[in-house]
Amino acid sequence: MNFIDYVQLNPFQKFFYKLKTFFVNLPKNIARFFKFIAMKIAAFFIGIGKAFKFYGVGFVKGSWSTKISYVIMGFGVVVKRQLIKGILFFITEVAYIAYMITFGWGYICKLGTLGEKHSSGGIDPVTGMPIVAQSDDSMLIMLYSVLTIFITILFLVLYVVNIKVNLSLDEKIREGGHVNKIGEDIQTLLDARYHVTLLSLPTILICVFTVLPIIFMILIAFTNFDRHHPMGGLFDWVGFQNFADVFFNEPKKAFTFQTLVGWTLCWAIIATISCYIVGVIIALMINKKGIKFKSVFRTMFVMTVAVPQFVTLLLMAQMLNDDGVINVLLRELHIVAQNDYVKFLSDSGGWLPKITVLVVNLWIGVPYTILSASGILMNIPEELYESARIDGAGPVVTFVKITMPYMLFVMTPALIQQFIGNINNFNVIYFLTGGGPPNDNLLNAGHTDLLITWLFNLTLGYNDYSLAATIGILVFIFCATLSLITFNMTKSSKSEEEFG
Amino acid sequence: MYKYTKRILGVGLASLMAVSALAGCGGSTPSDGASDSSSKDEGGSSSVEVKQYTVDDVMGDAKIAMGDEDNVTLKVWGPQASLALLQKQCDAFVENFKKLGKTIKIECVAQGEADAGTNLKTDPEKGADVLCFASDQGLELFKGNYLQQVRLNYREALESSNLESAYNTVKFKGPDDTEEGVYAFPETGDNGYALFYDKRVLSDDDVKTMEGIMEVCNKEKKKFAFNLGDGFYGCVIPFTAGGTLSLSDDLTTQKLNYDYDKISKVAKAFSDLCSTSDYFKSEDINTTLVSGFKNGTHAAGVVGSWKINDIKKALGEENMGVVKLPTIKVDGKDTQLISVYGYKHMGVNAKSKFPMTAQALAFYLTGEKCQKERCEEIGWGPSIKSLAESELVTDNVALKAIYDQQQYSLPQINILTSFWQATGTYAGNVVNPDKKHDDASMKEYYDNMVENISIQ
Amino acid sequence: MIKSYKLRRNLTNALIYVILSVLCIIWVLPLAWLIMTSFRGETQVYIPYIIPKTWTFDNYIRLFTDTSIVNYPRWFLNTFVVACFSCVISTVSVLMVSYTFSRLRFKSRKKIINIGFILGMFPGFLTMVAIYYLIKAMGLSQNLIALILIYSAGAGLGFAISKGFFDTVPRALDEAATIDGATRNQIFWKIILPMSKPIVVYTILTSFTGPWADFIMARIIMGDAKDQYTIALGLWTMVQKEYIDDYFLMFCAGAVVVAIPITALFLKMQKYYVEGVTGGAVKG
Repeated sequence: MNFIDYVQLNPFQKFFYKLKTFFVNLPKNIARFFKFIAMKIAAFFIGIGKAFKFYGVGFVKGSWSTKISYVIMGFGVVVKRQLIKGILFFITEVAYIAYMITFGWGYICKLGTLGEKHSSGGIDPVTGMPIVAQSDDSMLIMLYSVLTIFITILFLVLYVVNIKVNLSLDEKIREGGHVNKIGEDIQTLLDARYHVTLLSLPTILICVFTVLPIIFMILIAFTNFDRHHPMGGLFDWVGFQNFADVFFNEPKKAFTFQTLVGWTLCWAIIATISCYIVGVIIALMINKKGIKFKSVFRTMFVMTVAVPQFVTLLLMAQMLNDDGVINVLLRELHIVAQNDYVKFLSDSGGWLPKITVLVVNLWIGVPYTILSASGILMNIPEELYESARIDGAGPVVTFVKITMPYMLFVMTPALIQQFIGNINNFNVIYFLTGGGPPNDNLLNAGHTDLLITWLFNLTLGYNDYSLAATIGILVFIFCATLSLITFNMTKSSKSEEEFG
Repeated sequence: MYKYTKRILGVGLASLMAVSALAGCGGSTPSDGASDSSSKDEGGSSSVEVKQYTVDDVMGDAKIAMGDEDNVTLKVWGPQASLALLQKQCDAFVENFKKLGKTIKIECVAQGEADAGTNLKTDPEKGADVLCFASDQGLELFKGNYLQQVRLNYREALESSNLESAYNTVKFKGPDDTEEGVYAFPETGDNGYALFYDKRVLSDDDVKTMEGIMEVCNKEKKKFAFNLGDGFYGCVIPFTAGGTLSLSDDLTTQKLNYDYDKISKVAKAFSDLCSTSDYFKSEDINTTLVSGFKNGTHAAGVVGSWKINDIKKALGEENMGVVKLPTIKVDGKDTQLISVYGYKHMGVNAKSKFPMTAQALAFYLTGEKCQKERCEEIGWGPSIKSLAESELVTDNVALKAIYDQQQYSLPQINILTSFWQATGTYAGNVVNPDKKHDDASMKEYYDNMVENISIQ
Repeated sequence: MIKSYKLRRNLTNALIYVILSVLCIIWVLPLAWLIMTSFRGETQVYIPYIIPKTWTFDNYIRLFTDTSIVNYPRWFLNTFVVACFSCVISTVSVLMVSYTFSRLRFKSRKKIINIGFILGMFPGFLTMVAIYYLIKAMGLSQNLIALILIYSAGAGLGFAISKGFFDTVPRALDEAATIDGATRNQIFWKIILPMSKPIVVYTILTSFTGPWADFIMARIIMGDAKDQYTIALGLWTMVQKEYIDDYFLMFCAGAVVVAIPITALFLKMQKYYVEGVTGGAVKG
């Protein structure tokens, strides 16, 4: 298909065309991806080589004070009259060395074995009290090691900056240029290097509370930290054992994993699409010309968005209980017999609870779609409808040919976001069914358990930390890949370059 | 004198001796037995004999109770229902030692005994020093070294005063240990369940058999709630069939020792019962039973002792009946239902900063005086033998029924986490009228249970 | 012809009114039931009829006076404090990050955006154990500061929507200001921010309501420290089996009390919310 053909398609078809080409090109792209990775790795090593070269050359070329700065950070900077900056460099170095000696190095040394000292116990013969010599705590060793590695990387970056600053100062002095005062440096942070100022605080927070835990969790997935290795004790590296277990090694685990992946995907797809369709239809009805009380209707729906989700979910769980108000209502309406009830959440076959959670999710999710769809509907150019009417198209045709494709096109990124959100939709499942009803073919999981609730139960209920971490990584890889693909497929990431 | 043997590393022992020699200098601690026994160190194994204390000894002498600990702060976890009383008893403990010149601060925090173990495992250092937990968690807590072994000097008192069955559930033996150790203080003897019923609907004769109850329930259109879908109740099916549980020596795998023929007959009896009546309900009794009694939709329910007060409120004291579990017709013969029987224990956190005081507190709180108060004020059944056989229990209908059921039950020994869900799902399938109940399906449910129980 | 067209339109409209009304009822009924139950006099959890036979205001009174076990006012205050602080920190970091990514050009910008995007995909609670121990190492466990940090630390990653908004603000404005000698700092505070009211309000709104709804992190961090509970954790406790028989009606009252301010806030700010969502959606 050439460009002219493509442009003539309606957005709906364009989307499917894109989807088709995406899958057709998938093998090629995957190959390209691996090539890309390989290139990056090569580039990384070349980069390191270059850095060392830079480092060596800088040492040879630099002034005497720069040379000393290779050992005592900030020395050269002080000599070159940037007193405060130099002292800051020096303090960093002292602090880092002190940290490593007193704390960090001891943990890094143990990272390979995760500690070896076992606990031993006995009885104090005088008091009769049990005495226990504590074992090494593998988890703390791991956590502090990761922290130390982080700090080391940060220090290395500062070290390189220190050398770069020295070299550039050397150059400036050689050329007789102006050496910045500290005030002027701060000034650049507000203008030319403003991005450093703005990004530094969020970056630090994200590194500590997002990146560090993720790395920690990835490491956990390669250990045997489970309920046979209690918290505060020893555990070991096991390589890819956990991944092998989940995929094929242990039949029950593998079966549970496959079943839950299936249901999670099913759930995410149905939940996303159903919310989308119902939401758009309701939004269309509310926004139809000639309908009055628009804001009243909208407010009614929006109220459910405003009430905190866990409140509505805990409430729903009570209402849908075997003796809950919905069953009472059904009885009063004589839909079910007086002593009977519908097992919305507890039917052991598992199908009814699955449908129930999907319906409740609809109740919760639709108002969000109504909100965003209303906004988009107002943005659809009126001319499109005009011309369609002139061509004699009825309401159904305009809906299928104009409204739907337009909405779908605009909302695709949001839909994908929602899809990923649904894969990780902990609240709806946990508060409604808690994963139940139990299923004896699965390992510690129930009929409505998603991967994410299984993971939660494995962590808190069964202390199977390594298995939980493994599943977490797999979920993350899936979501990240999906969102990266869509992010780069959508127009926005390309069009923003126009600003560049 | 109590003998205790445990392998101790030579170095560890030497250092222990040094420490204890120093500690022993200043005090008047009765340590007569200690010095002879220490010389018996042969091949890394040693016997320790220590003087035995009673609660009165402990409460009378701060040195015995607390050693050198002072300015102690302790946290105690107890279920919300007992919290006020627990705090009162702790305050009495504090007051007692204040007179003896020690400063203690104790804070009681509400923590249901069913989750106490789980929460302790998540972070032992933030956990309570003394915690109240249900006996089925004992093994897991012991395996993870979360519980501190009971001070040797208290063992004789525990053994002689408590019901034997209760004492058996606090003894554990690890794969490396040469003999069993005691790891908790029995606190109650009533963590089992019994049949609660509405006297206005069911007569004393009706409640003797399942068939009798169901006949009346069907006639009166009222429900009988028996939550077999929960393993705590569901294990009635395998246990009634005469099964037992065993545990591998390394404590990782439990095994069912059951005769499939027998179990299938019991299961058949239950599934027949539910398929012939709409009023036999395996439902979550935790939320529905009390409402059901109050609304008059339920005639009877099997539930644990902890609901006694709520049910009493719902039915009125004169209408509440409690008896041991009924019989069921298996193969034409009335067979008594066998349940699982648990206890509540108090354990001392292995990470406690004040281990001696914590042990003394647990010892005191599980002593006769405190158990008696608990029985009188909140209706908790005691584990102390003399109390369990006194009028305190025999005059209390609910407690009496629960203690009666005890002779038709298996204690919670050798139980791992995997047990509950496996048996619950099995029993839930058996009594679910929507499930298939032909021989092949029943066998499948059974096989799944056996497999799931033995999962490591 | 015209008449029948009009008739048909009226018929369709009537049908739509009916459908919308029914749907509205379905959506509002659970909330109505919640309010009704919070005024119920019968104390048991379930009743075999729908409309209560006795009415009372006691549940609300008990909620605010009977604080020995269920300290609702304290939980409400805790949540409010956490929400305020984390709202400020989150809003500032989101706006800083999205402005940087939208407006400033620097080395490896594209790469950093992609990394941020991937990290943003990561559901925070997957790493709850690690976060817990990190917090503990900082000496902050069972402390509200820990919750503030957790809720606001990752906020910077939610830049997508507001970046989309900033992308739509014409760059000519920046250029004009630069010519007038303004620094980028001044441009950010004096020109861009005042123009971005909808997205600022949207960010404030979402980050303020977040702590009211989070359950997992609060549960992990707070453990047994009931004094430090947030509303979500507290209300959840009230329907656990140890509590439900005594506290179910108080749970309903508590849910109403927490829902009212959030709903009011939301309805008032609805306009901005819609602009935020659709602005982000249209622009990606």
